[in-house]
Amino acid sequence: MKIPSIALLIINNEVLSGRLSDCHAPYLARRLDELGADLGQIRTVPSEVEAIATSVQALAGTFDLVLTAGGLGPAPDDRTMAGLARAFDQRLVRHTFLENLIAHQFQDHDVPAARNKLAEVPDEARILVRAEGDWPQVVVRNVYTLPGAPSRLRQAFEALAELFGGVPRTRRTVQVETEEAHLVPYLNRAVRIHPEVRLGVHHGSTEPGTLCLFLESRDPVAVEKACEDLLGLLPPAMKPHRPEGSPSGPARET
Amino acid sequence: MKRLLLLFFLLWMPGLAWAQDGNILLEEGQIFRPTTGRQAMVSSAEPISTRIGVEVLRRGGNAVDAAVTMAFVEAVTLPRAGNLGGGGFLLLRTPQGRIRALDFRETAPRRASRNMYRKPSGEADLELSTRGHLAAGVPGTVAGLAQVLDEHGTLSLREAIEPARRLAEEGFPVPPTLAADLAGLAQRLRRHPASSEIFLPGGRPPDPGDLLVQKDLAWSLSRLQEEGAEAFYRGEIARRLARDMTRNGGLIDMQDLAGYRAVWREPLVGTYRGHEVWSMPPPSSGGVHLIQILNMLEGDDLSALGQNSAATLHLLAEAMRAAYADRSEWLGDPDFVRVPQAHLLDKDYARALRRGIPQGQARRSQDVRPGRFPCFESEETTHLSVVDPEGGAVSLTYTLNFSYGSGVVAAGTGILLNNEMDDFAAAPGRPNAFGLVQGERNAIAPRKRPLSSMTPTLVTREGEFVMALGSPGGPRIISTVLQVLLNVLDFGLNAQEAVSRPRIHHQWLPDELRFEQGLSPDTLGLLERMGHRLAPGTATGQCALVRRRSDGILEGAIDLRRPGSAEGY
Repeated sequence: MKIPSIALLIINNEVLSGRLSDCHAPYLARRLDELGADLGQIRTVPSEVEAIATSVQALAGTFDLVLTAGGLGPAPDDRTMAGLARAFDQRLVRHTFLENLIAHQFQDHDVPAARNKLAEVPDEARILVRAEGDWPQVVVRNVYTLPGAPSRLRQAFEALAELFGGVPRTRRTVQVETEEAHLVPYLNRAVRIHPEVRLGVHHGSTEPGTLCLFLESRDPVAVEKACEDLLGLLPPAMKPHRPEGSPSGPARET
Repeated sequence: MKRLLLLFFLLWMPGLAWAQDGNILLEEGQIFRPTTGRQAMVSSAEPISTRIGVEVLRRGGNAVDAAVTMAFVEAVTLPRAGNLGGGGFLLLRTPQGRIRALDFRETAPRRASRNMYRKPSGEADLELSTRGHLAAGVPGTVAGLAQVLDEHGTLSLREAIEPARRLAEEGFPVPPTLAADLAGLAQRLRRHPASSEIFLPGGRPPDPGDLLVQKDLAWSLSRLQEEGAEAFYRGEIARRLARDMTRNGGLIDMQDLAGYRAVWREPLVGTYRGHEVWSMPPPSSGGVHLIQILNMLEGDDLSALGQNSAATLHLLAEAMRAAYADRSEWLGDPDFVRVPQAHLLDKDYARALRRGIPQGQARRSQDVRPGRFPCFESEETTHLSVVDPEGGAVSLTYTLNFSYGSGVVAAGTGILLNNEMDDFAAAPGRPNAFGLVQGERNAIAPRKRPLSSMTPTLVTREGEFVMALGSPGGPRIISTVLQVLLNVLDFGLNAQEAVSRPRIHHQWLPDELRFEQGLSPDTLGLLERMGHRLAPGTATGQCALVRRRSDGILEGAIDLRRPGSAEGY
């Protein structure tokens, strides 16, 4: 079964200077998880041609699909297309279809500079058009560009969702009352018995002195089995239990 | 309850998985949307079959499991062409990248002879070669499906047959096309009690939505589940077939059935613009001429000439003219006659043929080669294409020849028999009822396979799966597969777009360029001015295409010239 590996490239100067916090990565990571995809890396780079090009090159060569967020507008610091062109050693060309679309949308305004920039794409770019006439999406090889405005990014992502589909993971949680160090031998054993199940420890949302163990796998049967085995391994003193209504299917953290 | 489940099965409409209105993406310049998926894809001419094929894949079956299960299902739900009593060809790609070609075409019975369908006057007797028991060749479908499942499947034959058996046993709602077909065939079916009993229940053709129950067919399928293909070739089904033959003047006997073998053949492979094109060798003419035409076209920049432009269509028509002229002369069953395959597939030969095509000017067929006329071939065939999550793929075309074959159901079996014997040249060198003179190499001989145009095809790029496709359409199969393939490889069209665009056909003789509706009058005017004899034709072919795009997404499409569906996940 082929599940595409995915990388996310956030292109935003403000995020790197701490003036804005990125909202794209949390949304996309959650949605990709729900779709059962394999998100393998999230990078944030400044909106500079060289930085974009270097990262795109590295990610596109390693991952099946790369999503970029931001840098598609007409402003001088929107450099995603130039970065893509550099990454794949292509020229920026004005795409006739985009030119026509822009001419139609901006027919009452004389904004040649902005217009020209919006129509420029790397020469191998594919243009995906949505039925409802939103701005089309540009794809270069295995790199899919998403706009930076949150609502438009989400809409654009959902239109592409089928690209990322895999097999959703099943998750189970086990709560224990102990220190992490005491747990390690039991966890090691569980990992040895069930190498196909991923095991994680979280301190976050539970009460002090309580730990949350996460078990996850694409094979729901394996998760159940590992969960039972782990509960059997842990000493009663740790008061292991599965919380009521433990999440099944794609888990969400709140 | 079972009935209810089945109904649910049928009502679950394909293709809706991703459909969020207004949020559908299409490549710029295209208007039709293919079905898409990540893991697996199925396309066939019969929606129940498609749905079951996808279900087999979802449950972990591979492409061969799905294709074989579907082929058995279509023997029940698509009696027009799906069959147990016919034959066909399949190409498969193993997940490791090996390509194999299986020939399960019918063979002539041992007692068949060169002149068996000739009238005393010497001309071919079409009635004899198409109607009734004498028209049937020894069926190969069961042997072929069982063999490929055994060697490449993971399901048992029992499991692969179960959905088909249930559909035969419990019935399925008659779709409008089947109802219309049966109404049209009522006359012919009434001549055969075993046929009319099944297809004209209560003496009249069923209405759309009526349940069509085929108890005898269910019995045959359950025999295959119990005893394997042996049941068909040596067991009780064989006995009933042979008995029915004896009673009705047919030639097929127990010995013919016991002697039938499906044959693995070396698949033909050509190259086209960096792709490997794999197709069926003789006794199909499909692969040879598909590759031959591609060879002729490879030197031209078709994408610059434009999809369905007059310049492109002129080239296609002339390349087809040359290839079909060769077909009439050179093709036949390689087990019996020498087919100069290497020569026909040679790129230098193709270049020479290409040089013979004048720019902007049509040739006359008699100037291309004075020779034999192509033989008549029915269009009632069906194709299915499957690709599984591991990259395994199957491209399968099979047929009864005519729609519903000879119209004969062998008594007590529920199995419609083919009239494939008509694909032989009944009277080599003399015109048949269609005024066609046929090739010597395709003359009837005992155990010989009749020439076919079925063109199940696989395309790979550096060994990786690119697409699986095929079509019904008799001699027009080759031109259909060709044009769909060009639409993807040269014109960058998506799967649905590629199978939907209007097509042309030229088969050397008759000397006419047949075109489907939808070509612009301007284009047709240009072709006419080049000297092409244009003939408006009805829609032909029904390409079932699955392909993997460069971004890894699978696209599936069924050509909606006829009903069918594509589905994947």
